[in-house]
Amino acid sequence: MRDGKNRSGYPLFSDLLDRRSFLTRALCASSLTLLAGAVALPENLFAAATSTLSVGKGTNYKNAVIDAIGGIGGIGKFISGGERVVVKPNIGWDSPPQYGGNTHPVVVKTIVEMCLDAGAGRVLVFDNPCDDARRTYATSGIKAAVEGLKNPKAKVEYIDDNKWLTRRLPRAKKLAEWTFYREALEADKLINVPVAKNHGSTTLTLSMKNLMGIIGSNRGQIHWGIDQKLADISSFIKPALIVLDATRVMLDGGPSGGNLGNVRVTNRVIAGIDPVAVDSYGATLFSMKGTDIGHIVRASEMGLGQIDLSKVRIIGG
Amino acid sequence: MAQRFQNPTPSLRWTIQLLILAIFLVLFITTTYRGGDQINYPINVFFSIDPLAALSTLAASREINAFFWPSLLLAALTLLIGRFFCGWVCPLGTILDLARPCIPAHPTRRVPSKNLKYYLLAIILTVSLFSVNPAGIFDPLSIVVRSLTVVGYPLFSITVHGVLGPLVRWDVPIASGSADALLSAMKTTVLPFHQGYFFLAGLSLAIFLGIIALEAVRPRFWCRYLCPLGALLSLIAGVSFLKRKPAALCARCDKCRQACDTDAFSTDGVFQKGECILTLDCVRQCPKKKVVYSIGRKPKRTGPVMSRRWLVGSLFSGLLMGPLLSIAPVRKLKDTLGIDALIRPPGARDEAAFLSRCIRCSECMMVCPTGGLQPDLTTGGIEGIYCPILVPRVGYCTYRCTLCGQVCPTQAIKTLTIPEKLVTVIGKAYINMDRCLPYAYGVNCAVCQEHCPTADKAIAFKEVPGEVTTDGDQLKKPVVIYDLCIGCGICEFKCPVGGTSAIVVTSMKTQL
Repeated sequence: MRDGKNRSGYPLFSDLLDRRSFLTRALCASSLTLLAGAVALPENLFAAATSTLSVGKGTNYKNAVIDAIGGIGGIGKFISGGERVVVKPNIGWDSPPQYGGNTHPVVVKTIVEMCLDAGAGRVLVFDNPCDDARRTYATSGIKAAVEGLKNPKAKVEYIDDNKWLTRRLPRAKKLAEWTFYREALEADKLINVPVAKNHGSTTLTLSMKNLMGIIGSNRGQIHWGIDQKLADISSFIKPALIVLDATRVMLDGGPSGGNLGNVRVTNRVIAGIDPVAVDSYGATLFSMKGTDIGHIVRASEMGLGQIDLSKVRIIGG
Repeated sequence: MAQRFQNPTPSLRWTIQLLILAIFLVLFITTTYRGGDQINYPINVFFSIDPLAALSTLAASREINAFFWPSLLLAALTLLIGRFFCGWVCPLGTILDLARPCIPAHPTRRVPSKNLKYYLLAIILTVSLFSVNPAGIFDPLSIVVRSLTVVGYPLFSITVHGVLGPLVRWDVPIASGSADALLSAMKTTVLPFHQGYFFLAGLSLAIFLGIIALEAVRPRFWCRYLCPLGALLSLIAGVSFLKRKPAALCARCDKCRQACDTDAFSTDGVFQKGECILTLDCVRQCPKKKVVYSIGRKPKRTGPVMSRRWLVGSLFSGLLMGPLLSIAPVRKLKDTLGIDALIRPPGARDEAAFLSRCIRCSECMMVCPTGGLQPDLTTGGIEGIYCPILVPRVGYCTYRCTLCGQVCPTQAIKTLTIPEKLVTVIGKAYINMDRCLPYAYGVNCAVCQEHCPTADKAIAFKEVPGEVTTDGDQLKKPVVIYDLCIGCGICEFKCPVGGTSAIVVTSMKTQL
């Protein structure tokens, strides 16, 4: 194909690849992509069919966390030596632990400790909170709890606005692209540690809603058609492990809370990797079902997990 | 035996000036939320030694404020040794001394009378006595804190972020890591966690640069001719025990006058105690080493000689200021139906009592964690210029935060306990149904309800069976529960509707 017309001194695309080999390669590449998709699809179904949850119970929240994670194989199954781990609790509100507005500090601390014990190279804890981060980190007790470990590998950090990255969400139905926090995207493992509570617009906030803490931009706009958008986010961000804090659940006045009359102590911690199954189980704590909650239904429709708890293996439930 | 002043080197004064300026800046930077409910070292200690703020607040509020007792100490020291505050302590004075070498001198032939500052002081105190408290507009400490809060600090912060931010974002090996570490370190020390940006930044910068630019005309132009705090100290210094030998310029020598930053001599060469800011430059410059400062046995008055006409004129214009401010319809509205955007900080006294105390130092704005407290231009009338108002679209009032009251030197904003703060109403929200998504476009949103911080939410949903969203879900229309709303404005701040929020807080807060 070299015809001597290119005098720019730089090779043209056509110089490097003739048409035929380009077409061949393109064809190979796309078939491979399709093949990979075909392989991935049954994997999804497989995951859904064999979803496993584990429930830890008791007033000793540390033991409840250890039991819950132990039920699905222990932390060593999810975290390997040297990995950079992000633990993402709910630290959204300027609200003390007993109100159930944030993940319980003992739950967060225990998970961080377990990751460190499993040999994690660094455990980063953060949230993009709704109230002032300095207040939520302090009032929630989470900053003090994690820093109390006095391990330089465990860090609680505030969001740094220089660390937002825009990403396309290939499987999304509504949210074509959005900004995500770099630390969450680049971590080797993301552990999602939500608290189960009532929510004004999504009825409940559980694990999928908690992922709003790793996204940026004008998050208020997520609320327009929020159910599909939450499912879209979950189609893009796949935590290695989900630990749902239901040690106490806020039944009304959420997500901020502030009225102890609305808080019920349930003494449960649920661990799993299937966000739809975890959230469906979470709904039962509020005498609801996954099918009652819009975003859980949408996530189930996208094949992100098992909404029917009769098909989920629940250990310790 | 009179005590003699040492003959200090200029470096001694520089050291003390810079040290005090450094303390001032450190206290300024610590006047911010760093994780506790209490602010331990706010910059307001500087105001406690400010006799001008003390006197004008006393005149306007007719209340003795124990906060200001150290100002008596400054007054007493000034009575002993003169206007040392201006030459050795005042941060604005230090800034002017630092800036002067950088400004080419353009002395004009005509300058105002040095008495101008006394007339200005007379106007300020008369206005304080009969209506609002304007001292803060001209008080040098207020001017410095305000300029730093509204312009200086935001500029510094934006510059640092502008340089280091891109380095962090570009993800360059080594450079990004170090920039990230440096930025993190600065954020916990000299940079604000959350930088507020303020209205009136341009005006404040112009005033500040204007004061500095006047150095071109005469050294310490502001201190010589304008500063009302300087004027007050000068009046005290004029009757002080301070004694200078010789008491006038020597024949055929003008060195003292030339060396003097404040031209502390009358036209016929007599030393004016009130104008002297004790730089002691003349002691050093005297070719015959004749100049000696000491503390005399009894106070002796030297100057100022004020024009009676001007003084009476100042008092009258001060008196007229009250009626002049009252002819604006704003006054009427404030007294009757209120002004929508005139939302004062939580704990602020009633408007009249508030204006009699606020010295416009902008500490509340500096400390406000959301940056929602903004300097006012004319919302509350021209008498309220630089007083704080909450602009919820810029930043809301944090539910459990009581910092603005804690740092307010005059308690124009009272310090609230957290339980008091939780029930303090500063306004009420209302929903603009023409913009609110569920009402106007049939789209569920609920962001305002989600963020509403009160224990029992002041925003509920009205769900009418059969009314559905464009997606076919039950439509949830937010409604404000008037009695529960405290007007914190987080709903207005978080409302995702572009431009004007679909939920707006106004100053109306009467119980229904």
